Formats: sequence, structure tokens, C-alpha cells
Amino acid sequence: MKFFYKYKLPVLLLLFTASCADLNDLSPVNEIPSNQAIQDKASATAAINGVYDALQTDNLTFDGFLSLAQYYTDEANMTGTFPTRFEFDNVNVFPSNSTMAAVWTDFYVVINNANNVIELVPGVTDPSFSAEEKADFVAQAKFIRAQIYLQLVSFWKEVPLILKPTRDVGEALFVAKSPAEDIYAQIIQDFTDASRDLIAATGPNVASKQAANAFLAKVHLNEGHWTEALDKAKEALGADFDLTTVPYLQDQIYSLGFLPIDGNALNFYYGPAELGGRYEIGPSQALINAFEPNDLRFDKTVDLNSAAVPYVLKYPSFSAGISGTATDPIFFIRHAEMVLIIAETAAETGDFTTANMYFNQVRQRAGLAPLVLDAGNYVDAILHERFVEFAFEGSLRLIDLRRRGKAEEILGPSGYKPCSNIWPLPQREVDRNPKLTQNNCCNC
Amino acid sequence: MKALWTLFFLGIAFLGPLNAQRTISGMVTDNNNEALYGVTILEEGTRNGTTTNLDGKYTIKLTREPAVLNFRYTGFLQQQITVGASNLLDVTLETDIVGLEQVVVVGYAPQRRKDLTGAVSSVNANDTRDVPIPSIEMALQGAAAGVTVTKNSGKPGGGIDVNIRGRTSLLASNQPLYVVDGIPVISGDNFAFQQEYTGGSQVSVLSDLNPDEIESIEVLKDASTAAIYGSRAANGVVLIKTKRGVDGKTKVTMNASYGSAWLPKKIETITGEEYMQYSEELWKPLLESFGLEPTFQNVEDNITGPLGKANTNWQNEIYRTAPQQEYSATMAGGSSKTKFFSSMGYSDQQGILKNSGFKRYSGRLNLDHSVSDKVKFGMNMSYARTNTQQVQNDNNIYGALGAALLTPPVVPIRNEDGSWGSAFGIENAVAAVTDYSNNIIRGRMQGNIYATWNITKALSFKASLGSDLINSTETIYEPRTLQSSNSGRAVVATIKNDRIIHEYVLNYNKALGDHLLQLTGGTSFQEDKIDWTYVSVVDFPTDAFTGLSSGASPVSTLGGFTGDHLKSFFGNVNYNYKSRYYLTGTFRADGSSRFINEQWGYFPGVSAGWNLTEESFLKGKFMDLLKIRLGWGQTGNNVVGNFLSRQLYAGGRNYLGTPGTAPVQIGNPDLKWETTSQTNLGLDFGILNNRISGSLDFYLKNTKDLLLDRPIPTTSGFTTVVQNVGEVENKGIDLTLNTLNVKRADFTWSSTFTIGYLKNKVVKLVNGVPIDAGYDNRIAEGQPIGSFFGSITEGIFQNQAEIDAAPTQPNAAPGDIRFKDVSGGVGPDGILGTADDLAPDGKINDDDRTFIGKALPDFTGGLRNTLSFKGFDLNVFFQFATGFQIDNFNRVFAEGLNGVFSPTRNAWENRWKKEGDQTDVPRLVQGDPNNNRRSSTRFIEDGDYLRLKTATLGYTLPKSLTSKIGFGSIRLYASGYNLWTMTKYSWYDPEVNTLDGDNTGFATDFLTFPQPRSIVFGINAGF
Repeated sequence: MKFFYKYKLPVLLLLFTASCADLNDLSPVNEIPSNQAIQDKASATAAINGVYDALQTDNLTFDGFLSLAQYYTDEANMTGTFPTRFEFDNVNVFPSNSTMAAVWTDFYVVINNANNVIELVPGVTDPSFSAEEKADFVAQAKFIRAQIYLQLVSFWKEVPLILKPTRDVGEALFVAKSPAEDIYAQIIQDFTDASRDLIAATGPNVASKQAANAFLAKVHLNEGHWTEALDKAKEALGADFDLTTVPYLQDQIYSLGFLPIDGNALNFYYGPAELGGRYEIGPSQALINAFEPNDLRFDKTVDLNSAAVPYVLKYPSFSAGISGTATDPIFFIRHAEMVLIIAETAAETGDFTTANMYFNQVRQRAGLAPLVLDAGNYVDAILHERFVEFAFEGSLRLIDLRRRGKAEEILGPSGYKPCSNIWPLPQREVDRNPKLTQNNCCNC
Repeated sequence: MKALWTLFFLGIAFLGPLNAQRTISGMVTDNNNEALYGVTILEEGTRNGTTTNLDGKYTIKLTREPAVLNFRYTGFLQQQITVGASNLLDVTLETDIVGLEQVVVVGYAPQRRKDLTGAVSSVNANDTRDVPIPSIEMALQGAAAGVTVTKNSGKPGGGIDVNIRGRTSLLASNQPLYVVDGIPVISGDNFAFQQEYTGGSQVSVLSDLNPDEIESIEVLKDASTAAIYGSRAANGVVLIKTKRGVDGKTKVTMNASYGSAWLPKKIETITGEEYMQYSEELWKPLLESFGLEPTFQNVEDNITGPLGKANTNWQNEIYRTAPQQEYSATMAGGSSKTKFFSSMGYSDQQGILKNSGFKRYSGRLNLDHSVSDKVKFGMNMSYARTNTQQVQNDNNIYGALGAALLTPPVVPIRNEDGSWGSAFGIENAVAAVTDYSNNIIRGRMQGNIYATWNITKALSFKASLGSDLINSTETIYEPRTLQSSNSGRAVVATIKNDRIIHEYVLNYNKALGDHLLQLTGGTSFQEDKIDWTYVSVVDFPTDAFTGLSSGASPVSTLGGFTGDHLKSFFGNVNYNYKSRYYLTGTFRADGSSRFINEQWGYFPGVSAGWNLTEESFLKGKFMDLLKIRLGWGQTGNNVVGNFLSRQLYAGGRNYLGTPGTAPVQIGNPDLKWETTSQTNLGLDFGILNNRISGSLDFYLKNTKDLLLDRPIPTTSGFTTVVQNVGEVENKGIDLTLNTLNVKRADFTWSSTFTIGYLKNKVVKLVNGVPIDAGYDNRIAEGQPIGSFFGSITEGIFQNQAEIDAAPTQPNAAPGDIRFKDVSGGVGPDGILGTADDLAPDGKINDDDRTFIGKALPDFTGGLRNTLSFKGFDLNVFFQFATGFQIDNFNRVFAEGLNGVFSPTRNAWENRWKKEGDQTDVPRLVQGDPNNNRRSSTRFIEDGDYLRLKTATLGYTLPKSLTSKIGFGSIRLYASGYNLWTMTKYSWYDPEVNTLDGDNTGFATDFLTFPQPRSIVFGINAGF
């Protein structure tokens, strides 16, 4: 005791550190623990916004939704500097392609975000959160998940089908590829659920009943289910729809929207140097040639004169500079696509009257003379019309050529081979996941 | 008054004659017979003391008989002399070459250097004081074996990589812990003090410290000593001691230097005319397909747009001869009770890239005050304000260097309308250095207050409270004249990092006969809080407005907080018997807020030493020192993100202006420290009166539970999870050799040679899955960290017959690179590049990539020669590194010969043109269908170099002259930096690291700010 009395100061100070310091009272301010993330209507709303936001990454907006498939076809030329994008332009994609790996990763980030909402929202107890609203949230997440799986299956054909959120890093991480039919079945299931549960009738910037039906039409078209595609396209368009009354590009059904503070850089990638762009991608001669004279769409698609190089006009906020402030939307689905799906599926089922009526709505709006579809010309004519109508809006050209078995014929001269129908899986995924086997695809 | 009484009684106690107050006087000189100014002379056992004056003279009144006088002077061996009959006592002090008597503070307990049993390297202020250095890390260069210092770029104030005995970590820090006067300081290791991306290079917050204030630096290299710093010591500990006052006359020193820096070497590029030819050749097939003649005019009209017809040498436009200046003054002195050291400094290092530079204003005050024999307190306070002026660089199309090397020379600097010339969206190189404005201003207050209480003679207690406060503000404006900005862009980003640390330590020292026991125990608590903001705004009315409020459209408004707490208990036992046998034990327990389930880590260390020269069979023999040391210990590494253990959902994931959240981190609650176990066997020796001395150490470092960003299938929605998996091994040998080659009255020559051998190996990763890093680095089991992965080139295909005969290589044509068929794919282990890969399959593809180089040198070291002849001194320091490669990624673009970028002269002149051309540069072909630019041995170059890093020639004016004008000493000097390099490396400089701060993607060179060469002239004066 005497010792303590004499040396109380040091002893007290030594004890002070031991007691005062708490190792558990620090928390981040921009993140919260995941188990508190979806607890009520407000946090569920935020989580669903986070799913849409995941579509807006640079990797997806430019490479995932647009450029890689465009380089790969006769739609666009690689005019920039990135070696990985050249591989797509050269139709010689290596599994080590890092741009492709980044796109793959970002697709699955969207899927995991969506899976979280799908799993957690039904369990939320919040009196102000109605059962319909919950179902709507789940439907939005399913809609976006299906949209992404449609991209994945179109590019890689067989991919891991993951429907549960990632909660830990155990064996569940390693998922094998699912057959394409299973993936399509899930996509159809998700869009069907979405068209039932979504509250919004129309979009365009969020998931809607109309958009879900439109996607179902697309999926069935890919699968060659003509009547289902026809029905869904008609359901999406609604009765008495006349495309000619809506200006070109304003007929959006579902688009990814942007604000200046949360914008994209598409203007920068598509723009020429004169307009502050890096001109990473330019229109191909084949596309330019594909436009018939006096096609009104041309002046909204390509500019041949304002700069030294021809450049794409679909993302025209060139004044936004490069700081990711451009607000040009990405058109996921427009009414014109439904119109052309009706034309194509009607033709497939022998109904050329309907086919011609719908098909020529598109041509009429473009200021072109009608063209009569018949059994001999409709495949090429519709492919052609879709090529110019939807140029640079997505990956339609690649998917069209593949589903119609025309890719080798048309893209053969630029190096397209039978094995080019599937992209290689990113090597790093194969390295990381022992259950994933490389596609028989590449360097053939 | 009390003191007098004490003296009085002491006098009685020793029964000396009461009137024996003899006055002793004399002169203290060094080996060269030069007077030493400011030598402390203390009468042993008393507080009676004095110092020498400018002429080295002193007088002291003795208080007792017989008296023993202690002569102390920094950098010299202490001498104890028993005063004889004579009242005149001249003393010559010997230079302390080995620093054996020097007291070093290892962790929390002071020890004499000769008592150390671990591997500790010392850097004396003497070794470097005559050589101006820009940042404290540079003082470690070549001074300590096994310590590799690489300046990542030539950017003033930029990052410096310090590696002690290899690399232990892939994710956590690989940089040592820096401790200044007992306070672990913020070294920018866990948080980059630069938010705006300007390229790979970062800023070094250690550059805030003025090297002139440093007295000595100790580097704890092995775990038995470093274990006292526990969870942060796996990469070694750098203990920095700043100068302190000594009682006696106030000493003033002043230093001023002025000089220039310039670019030692330019990359040879082509002329405008040659670019036109290049362009015509490149676009010939396309133009012909349009039915056009392959003329440059047609290229401009149909493909690239107008480029220009100029002949610009862009490199000439962006570099400059940059002035370097530095001024500092220190003042030190005090009485027996109160001592002080103060300094002020100003340094202005302008960069050789125009508009880059680093300025530092710094001040320090160190105070020690003895309240009584028992209680002492003091403080160390320093303030620095630095301004790092940056230009964009590295992998960045707006970077000055990228623009200068890749923009065609035909592009004019300015167009006819006065706007900047530019091509392909790349920044105009001149605009990149002149119009862009980026300043990081840091204010830093760092210091501590302490009190010690000598409770008894043996027991003492020390309490200290330290802080390190950094306020950093980045201010950027990009006018609309830049490609990177259409309508003006401003950024203001701030970081406020507050570190508070308090420590309480008990020390017990007891000599029991020949047994000496030292016990230390204590606690420490440290907290770090970091608040940051980042705001960027675009759309300014004109470029005359540059403030955030003037911009019309905000782009980002971000901010956040991060921080950590560290709580520790530690203890240390040092025991020796007759300075012959030594035993040391160390222990630390650290608790960290970064972890959840494994919050506490325990770090032990033990070592033993045997000083053979104290044994009778060696004592007095030819060996002056022969000491064997053996130590083992464990240290940790917790320098990872503060909240990495947690599973998190993040905000800010907004869609169309409505707030959103999304999962960002899978988290891992079982996360814990990396643990490094290190065994060290060392030998200290000295022969021929210590004229040859040194130490040799062998070490084996095993790091397990590696904090690893384990790559997981990204189908999970995450790319990585941080886990404690994997093992890394470092083993090596450090040798330091000090020799005193010549020692004459007017000429001395001494050398220090250091060499470190290192073998690094990744022992284990998760399921053996390799990790790709940097541009071409791959981390894989069995390979050192920083291995390069890619294809092997086998010359150029001369004709179609060769292509047909070779393994299938898609799209190959004559003139393309022939790649080696290494493998037919992964073997049973599922991993490429291992021994069980399948046999070559006759196809060239990604399977044929293998390990083609390594970034870590086998040997690094330096040789310092110090000569003095009469008033002249010469200090020459060579640095070398051998056995490593550099990924010269510059050439992927500058020698790609595939697109619009302007090629180097080498690529242009040596490209394959026709069958029979013997060259390693492929043909020129638009789009590069053969992918000649793939990662391959083509771009992996040997980095071995020998460099004359610094050389300083000084002349000290004779005392007789300087004392006349009232100065104690005046020295004039000229100092050169990076004066000469021998290397085969083809780009600017082999000392390069584009991915500054990256643990795994190092030794990569991509458009990085090159190292300058500089010469400064200066003057040191003291009075």
C-alpha cells in the first residue's frame, strides 16, 4: 500500500491507458453494416436505386452495353488506343482481355445487388411498406437481373446462374456454368414475374410492365419462339400504336438515365478530338454505306462533315466535356424494336400483311419509301432495317447476326469464325473458379 | 544555493582539501589537429561542466580531487581522463568510426550500441550532414545494408520506397514504421495524401520533415529488436532522433545552398518529316482501300483529321533547368538545467518538368528542462508547411510526359488561331505543364511533451503525450484551354489526419556486481482520425474564375471519415554479464480497432549476444571486437484499411438524383495481423584498432497469415476479399564494412561498403491461384513478389514460309514477332506457368505466357568514400542494384508501330521493313493484328545499375581566418546528385516505380517523371 501511495501517479497513468481506450467505437460514415442495409421502406428504396446505379459504371455504359459488341461486328471501328478493344475489333479476343473481364465483373455486381433486394425486401417489417410495394421492389430487381443475364447469355452463352446474394466466401463462391436453356428459362421467369408485379406501367428510366413485356419479346425472338415474341411485342406496344407519330429516338420504352452530377462519358468515347473526345470508337464504312440515300436517321446517327473523321451522334452531349457529366441516355429498348419484332415474327408465321404494315412504319418515319417484304427478302430486309435503326444503341447487331446465323457470312472477312459465336470466359474467372471451364471458343 | 551546499558536503565526504579548486585548461582537437568547438567537458560525478570555445580552448574549475574529466562530442569517442598534477590538459578526440559508444534508443530503452544483440543499422548525422538530401528517407540510402531506397520518380516531394529486408506483404504496407523522438509518425502508408489522380505518382508526407534537424537514425531490421513495436514492425522500424541542445555556449549553424537540376537524358524521337512518312506507311492499306494515294495530306483529310506540318520536339518544351535552393539555421545551447535546440528551414526544389516543385518551410523547438535531480520535462515541437506543385503524368492521356513522347512532332505547339495544338484527344504537352494548376499544401504540427521522474536511482518513469496533425489541401484548376476540361474544372480536396498518442513507461536499471539488468514496461494508446472531403465543379464563366463557388455544375461532392485505435502493452528485459554475455527479451501486445474477432496480437522477441573480445583468450589480441548475436522474434503488419473486416453496404450509389445503397465489401470478421517471424544471426567485428570493422547478418523472415486481397470469382459481385492466407519468405545476407583506409594528420580516407542479398519467394497463396498486378506483374507461388508474366519473343518472322513452319500464330505476317510456344495449357494443378503445364501444342495463345523477369534485385548496396585532406573534404557515394528487370511499358506505346502515336527513333529506324532485316523491332502495321505489343520479353529490360548518387566536395576555411570575422567555422561545398549512371536500361532511368505505393506492381515504367541530375553549391557556417 505504501508502494502504491508513493508511486500512485505512474500506476494510475499506466492503468489509464488500459481503461480509456476503446477499440470498438469507430465506424465509417459512408457505409453501414450489411445486415442493417435493408430494414424499412426507405432503405429498401435506396437499395433498389443502388441496383440501377450499378448499371451506370464506365465499364458497363461504354464497353458492356455498347462498344465491345459494336467493335466485334461491322457496326464500328476501333479508332482509339486500347489494345484490349482492338482485340474485339480484330475479332480475336484473348481470354486475358482485361476490358472484357471488367465488364463481366460489373455485370455480376448488378446481379448481386439485385439478389440482395430479392432476398431481403420480402422480410422487411415496416407498416408503411405495403405488400404490393414490396413485390414491386422485388420485381424491379428481378427485371434488372434478367436484363443482365440476357446480356451475359448473348455474349458468352453459358455462364454461372446465381440467384442468391453472396454472404460469405466459402465454397458457395464456386459456381459452374449453367446451360443456356436454364438461363433463358430464368430470364423468362424473372421478366414474367416483373410484368405481373411491377407497379409502373411505363418507364422509361425505371423498370415497367411495358418494358418487361418488351424484354420478353426480345428474349423469345432470340429463342425463335415466334408467336410468344409476337404476342409480347404487341402487349408492349399496346393497341393502335403508330410509330410514325413519335419522332426518332423519342420512342423509348426503357433507357438508362443520367444526371450531370452522375453522368456518363459516352460523348468522350464517341466524340472526335475536335469536340473534345478521345474518339475511341467510330462508325464503320459498312454502316455508313448501309444507310439508303435520304434516310432521315442518318443525320442523327453519324456526322461525316463536322470533323476530320466520321463520328457517332447517338451520344451528342459533346459540350459536357469529359468529366463524366454527359446525360445522354442509353436506349435499352425503343418502340421501334417492338415494331420490327412484330414484323419479323409475323413474317415468320406467314402473316406478311402484318409484317409489311409494321415494317414500313419504321421506314416511313425514316423518310424512306415502303419496301414490300416477302418470304424471300424479309430476313435480310429486317436485319438491315434493325442495323440502321438501332446503330450504336447496344449490342443488337451482334445478337441479330448470331441468332440469324449470318455472322460468319457477313463478318467473315473481318475474321469472324465459327468459334467467334461465343466470347471466351475471362481467364481470371477460370483461374479463380475451379468449377468454371473455358468456353471452346477462341483462337480457332 | 542548495547545489552549493551539496557541493560543500560532497567536498567533505570525499575528504578532499577544501581549497583544492584547481583550474584546469587546455585545448581539444581532432585527429587533424583542428580545434573542436563546443566539446562538452563534465567533471565526473558532479554537475560541474563547461564547453570549448571557438579555438577549442576550455577552462574548468575542479570541485574535487582526484578529478575525472569527461570529454564528449558528437561523432567522437568519449574520453575520460583523470586529471594529473598538471593544470594543462590538451586532449585529442578520436572519431567514433563505429559508433560503439553511441547510445541508441531501441524502442523504449536506451542502450549502448556495443550492447546491441539485434540487427540495428545506424545512420549518423555525420555521415550525411555534409551532403544535402531532399528527404529523410534518402539518408538511409546505402547507409544500411539490406535497406533499399528507391525514389519512385523525379517528382519533387514524390514518393520514396524504403524496403528493409525484402517485401513481406502483398496488401498491407511494405514500408517501415517511422518513429520520430519516440512518436510513431504518420508516414502516409495507410492513407494516400493525394486524392486527385494525376498519374501513378503520389506524395510523400515524410518530406515534411527537415533532414537538417536529424541527429541520428537507427534502423531496426530484425524482429528481436523490432518486436517492441509489435504489430507495425514487420517491415522494420526507422527511429529518428532530432538534435537536442547541450549546455554551454549557444551554437549557431547556418546552411545555404543553391543549384540547378536538369534532365540527364532525353528519349530520341522522330522529326515531323519522319512522322509524315510513318503516317503514310501506317495508313497506306486503308487509303488504298478508299482508292486514295498514301500521302500525308490524304491521311489528314480522311483519317486522322488535321494534325499539322510542324516539327516540334515536345521534350524540349516541357523540361527545364530547375533551380534548387535551401536555407536553414539552427541554434542550440542551454544551461545545466534547461537546454534547447531550434531550427528554421526553407527549401525550394523545383522540378525539371516545368511547373512542378516542392517547397518546405519548417521550424522546430526541442526543449529539455530539469526541475530537480529527479524530475525532468521537455518538449519537441515542429511545424512544417509544404507545397507540392504537381503536373499530370504517368498512365494518363493528359499527362505531360505521355503527351511529349506520344504526340506526333507534326503537331504545332500552338495553332494559327493561338489555341494549343493537339491530336487524338491527348493533352498538348506544353499546356499540360503550363495551364494545369495543382498544389497540395500541407501544414503539419508534430511533437510531444514528456516528463520523466527518477523515482529512485534505479527506477524511472516517463509519461509522454504526442501528436502528429496534418492538414492537407489540394487545389486544382483546369482551364478550358486544356483537353481535360471543356469549360473549366476546379477541385478542392482536403484531408485532416489527427494522431494522438500517449505512452507511459517504467524503466528499471540495476547493476549487481558484474550483472547489469534493465527492465522496461509500459502502455501506449494511439488514435488516428482522418476526415476528408473532395469537391469538383465544372462550367466556369471564364478561366479568370477558379474558385469552387464560381462553377455552375458540381460534379462530385464527397467526404468521409476513417480512423483506428491501437492499444498496447509492452515490456523489455536487457541483461548482460560483464559486457560479455547478453540476453534480451521483448514482448508487445497490440489491440487494434481494425479487427473484430482477433483484436489482440502478441509479439515476442528474444536475442542473445556473446562478446568474444571480452573473453580472456581474445582480450587484447588483434581483434578489437568480435561479437556474435542470435535473435528471433515476431512482428506484425496491420497496415490495411481501417474497416476491412466488416461486411458493408455503401451509400452514394444514387440513380437519377435519388439516394442509393449497394453492397461494397464482403468483409471478413476473422481478419487479423500478418505475422512475420524472423531469425537473425549476426556478427560484429573490428580489427586493426577498429580500422576495419563491420557486421554481417544472415536472416530468415517468414510471413504467414498474409493479409491478402484474395481474388474470388467475380460472379459473387465482389472481386476480392481480404483474408489471412498465404505465406511469403525473405532470406538474405547483409554486410556492412567500414574501413579507415588512410589516417594521417592531414589526410584521412574512410569507406563504408554495404551490400544486401535478398531472395524473396511467395510460398503460398489461396488454392495457388496467382494474382495479377500492375501492368505485367504476377504473384504466384514459388515466384518472388513482383515477377513479370508474359510471352517470350523469338525474333521476327522473315517470310510466310517461316510462319507456316512455326506454331500457329493467328494473324501473323512477315515482319511480326514470333512468339515462343511455351505450353499447351494448364496442367493438373490448374495453374499456368508451373512445372506441370502441358507440352507445347503448336498454338500460340495466352497459354504460352510464363515468368519472364522479376522486379526485386538480388543485390543492392552502396559504397561511400569519405576523404579529408587539410581543409578539403570529399564524400562520394555510389549506389547499385543488380539482378532485376523493369517493365518498360513506355515502349508498348512508343514502339508499338501500330497506330497514331509517334514512335521513338529506335522503333522507326530499326523496324522490320523487308525480308532479311536483322532487327528485334517488328513491322509497322496499323491495328497490330499479330498483337506484337502483348506483354512479352520485348518490354522487360534488365534494370541493373551502378550510380554515382551523390558526390560532395567541401572546403573548410582555416579557423585562423574565420575566427577573425567572428565565425566558428565556414565550409564551402559543391554537391552533385545522380551524377553518373551505368545501365543498359533504355528509358530515362532505372530508378523508377510508376505505380507508386503499389505493393505488387512495382519496377514498372510508364510515362513517369524522370529523375533529375543536379548540382548545388552551398555554404555551412557556424558560430
